[in-house]
Amino acid sequence: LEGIGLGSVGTIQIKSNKFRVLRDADFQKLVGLASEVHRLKMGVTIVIQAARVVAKHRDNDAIELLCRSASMLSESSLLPEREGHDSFRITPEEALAYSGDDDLKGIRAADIPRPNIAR
Amino acid sequence: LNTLSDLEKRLRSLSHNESAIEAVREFSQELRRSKDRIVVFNATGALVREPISCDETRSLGFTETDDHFQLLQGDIITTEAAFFLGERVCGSPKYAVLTSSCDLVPGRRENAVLLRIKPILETEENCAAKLNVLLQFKRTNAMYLPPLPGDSELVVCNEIDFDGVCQIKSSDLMLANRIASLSLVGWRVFASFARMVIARANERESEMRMAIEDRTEAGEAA
Repeated sequence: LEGIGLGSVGTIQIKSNKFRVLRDADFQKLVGLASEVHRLKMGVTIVIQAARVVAKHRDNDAIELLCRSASMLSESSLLPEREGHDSFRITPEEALAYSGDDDLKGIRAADIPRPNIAR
Repeated sequence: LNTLSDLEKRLRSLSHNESAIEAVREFSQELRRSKDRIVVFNATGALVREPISCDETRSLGFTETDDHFQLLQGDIITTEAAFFLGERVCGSPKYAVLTSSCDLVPGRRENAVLLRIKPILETEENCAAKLNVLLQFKRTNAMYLPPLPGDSELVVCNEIDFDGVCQIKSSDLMLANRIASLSLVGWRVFASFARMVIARANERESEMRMAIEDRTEAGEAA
């Protein structure tokens, strides 16, 4: 299974079924995208409502409303995302007060022991 | 307890008590040097451990229906299905589960609450000061965690951020990747912070509220 890299999908075929195998990072990306469904549903509902208005009153305002709601749905701004969390910040006062520790001056990550967490 | 006033007096030292977080700080201060704090808090099983599994607890006799779990409070996970201020957070972010374990049973709650875990990198400005602040538990909204599995080699530590929460659908949370669980003491420290964030008050607020009620009672008596 190690040969299944990021972005690729392995297939296991047994007698009665076929299974797809992918890396967890890819799986989490798919679950993340699937979680957008409820936001998309909201957008689709607005488009449907606008279409119903157009069906009843075929005037320029109604058609423009339909066009705008449909284009909003296709724009990524409807589904805002951010890449990772912002970083931990400290105040200038904290930076001054806590920067003088000799144990930590110039500390490198390689110097810090890591807990051994078997998974 | 005969009156609501008696109840208030009894709760006075319990509901907004800060002694738990003070105990955490005292423990850290007693370690004296940052080097010692790192050794203690980063030891295997100190604050974090491998994910606690249901098989493990079952083998210890926890076999009742309510003992079954998929996730526990304080578990450290990665997911791309959580939202912060309306934005979905991508890029394999890490979180600690804030929702109580008893509400994480499938089907019990529709949504769950997560806290952001932020890595501190050796390349960041004020890296040493940040590490120092966290190791001493000086902030009421930031809990120290050692580097975690999957962290880059530049990570010196992590921070559980109690300033703002993220939301996730419970069904999506069940598909998240569990990276670690908190140890017993890690879970208690975590709860001490969580409690502080929800129910912290300075003495002035307490005095202010009591003064308002005393004035109202005095007015009614007159």
